[in-house]
Amino acid sequence: MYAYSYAPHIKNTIVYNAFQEKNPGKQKSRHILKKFPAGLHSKIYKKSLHSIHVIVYYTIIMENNKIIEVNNLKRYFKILKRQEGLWGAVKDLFSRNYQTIKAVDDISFSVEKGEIVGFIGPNGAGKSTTIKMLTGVLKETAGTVVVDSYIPFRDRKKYVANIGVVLGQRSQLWWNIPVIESFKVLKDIYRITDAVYNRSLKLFNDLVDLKQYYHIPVRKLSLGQKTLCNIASAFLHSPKLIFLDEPTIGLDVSIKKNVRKIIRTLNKELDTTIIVTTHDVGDIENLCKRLILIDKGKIIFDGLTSHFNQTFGAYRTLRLDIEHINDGILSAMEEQVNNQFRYKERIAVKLDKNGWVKLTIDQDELPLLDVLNFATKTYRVKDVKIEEISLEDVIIRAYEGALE
Amino acid sequence: MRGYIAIIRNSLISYLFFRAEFFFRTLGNLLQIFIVFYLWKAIYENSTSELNGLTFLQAFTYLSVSGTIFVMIGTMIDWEISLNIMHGDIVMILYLPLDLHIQTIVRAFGVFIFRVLFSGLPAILFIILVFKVPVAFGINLLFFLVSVFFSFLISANIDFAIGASAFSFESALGLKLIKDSIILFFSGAIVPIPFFPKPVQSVIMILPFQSMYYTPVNLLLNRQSMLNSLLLLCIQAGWIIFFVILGRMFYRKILVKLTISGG
Repeated sequence: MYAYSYAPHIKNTIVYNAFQEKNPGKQKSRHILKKFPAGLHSKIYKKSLHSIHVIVYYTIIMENNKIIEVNNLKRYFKILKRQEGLWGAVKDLFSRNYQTIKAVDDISFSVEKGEIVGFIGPNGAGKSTTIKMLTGVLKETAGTVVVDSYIPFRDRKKYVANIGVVLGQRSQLWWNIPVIESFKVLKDIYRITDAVYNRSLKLFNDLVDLKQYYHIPVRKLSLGQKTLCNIASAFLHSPKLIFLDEPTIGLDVSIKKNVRKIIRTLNKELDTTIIVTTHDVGDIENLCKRLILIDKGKIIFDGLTSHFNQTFGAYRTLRLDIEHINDGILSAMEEQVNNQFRYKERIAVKLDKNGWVKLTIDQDELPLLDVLNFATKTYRVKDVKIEEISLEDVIIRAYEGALE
Repeated sequence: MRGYIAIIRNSLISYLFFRAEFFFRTLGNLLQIFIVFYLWKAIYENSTSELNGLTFLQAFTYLSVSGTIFVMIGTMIDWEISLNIMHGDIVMILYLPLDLHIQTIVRAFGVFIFRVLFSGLPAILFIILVFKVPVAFGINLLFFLVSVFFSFLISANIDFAIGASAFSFESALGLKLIKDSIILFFSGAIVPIPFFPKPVQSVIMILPFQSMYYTPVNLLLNRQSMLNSLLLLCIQAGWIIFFVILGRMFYRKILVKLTISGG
């Protein structure tokens, strides 16, 4: 009933599940745990309940076409609390004053195959730490990560052969030698077959004409060209899953467009699952169907990008062109509107740069049409515009709300 | 395996890229040989023909060959790893589906091959031919090469262990300095081992460092029985295993502690 050829441990899972069905309540029993493979067993032994989750989730992954399954993931850093100034720095040499930072604090989510998921959040929210745990270079403090039936940190060497990682400014390429030589090394390291290797290169040549950079050493490439090559190097072995950490940072508009084109094409043609962290609204609008917003190590929003607007208030901006408008009328109007309607805060009525009156209202609180009706009755309105608030403004609101 | 070979290849290409570095290194090595020559000539000037049982030519050959070995087997592994950890670039290395330890050694091995071929061997030929050092050309040359390779492995694995400790200290540059000084002093690369007092000599012989420099020089210059030569190589191999285990222990423990925050 389960496709357990994916992972060798699955067989044991089924043994375990079967055992659990027969003996409910005995799941912590030690002797049954000994039947699991060595690595898993020791983990279960240490923190029994969490690890049992892992095993059970293997089967869930197979059933629901999921590729990433994260449960109650935590990562704490113990850092030295540094003191100020030169004398403070000297004192720090002998200090034992450690502080615990909760970089990632109890997050759970899952990702299905073929999804493009955007990780957003203010600086220092814990995005990169999460990515590093998902890619197996950081060990989690608590909780479980299962990606494509691997436990990333434990199985790092095998696991990373199945993923591609692009970290903004860092590079997998050799600094001093032509790009194509680095590609050849990666071909050997990942044991990429000629067919896959040529297909990947062809894809990139068709999309961004990568050929022109083949014989240039990496250090002589511009930032944008380097980024294109970095992304190409992460896609060469056509991995099932790709992590992109701010792929468009510092790129010009046309290269940004190309980078997004590459990502969309790979997702569509090879069904690659893509996790992207970004601060670029364009990336989110053009790439991500789904968003996960993280702040202070916690997930604040997880859902479709189209739902994101509504979750953080269905804001609309109303613009009115009113005859003979001046500051006096404007302040009187603000007074009247606020007297007329009950709203969670004082509605600000302002003039925009075209001389139109502008007010922004959350639709869930107060129907915009009511305000419009009131305005057209009271004033001589020549023209009306209603605008949806931009994603950028929503994100700003979300960050600021989250930070309070 | 194919991946590691590819890394050696690129490491070589990468090194050949710096043509100037290649010429200057060879030139610098030859200059050092002359410095050693005139320094020790001055030391021997006012003395009898032998000091501590070594003639001038013996002392000079010993020091110039061990100086050349120093140039060949030195690696920057510790420095590279600690820099990578400080800057966070270590993650890019960890994202390759390879063993970090083997990968690091293999990278250094590419540079080592290059130095042996273009810097080490020419310098040794230069010493032998120009200063007319009596050397037997036979099986000892093969032993010498194997022994230099083993010395490289010892050196690289010591450096890896030091570099790996950067995982917990976040910098291994201080440790590297201590290590370099200890190796230079106790290996007999600056002062020939016969010049040390007897008790110090016996301590030196227990430590691994003399086997990095003294053993290959010994195998090249002194006539050894076959059995003795093999024994010396086995001792070197023992030290390699010791440092491999040490390095891997550090690396395993410390990888768990790895902290890199930010992108």
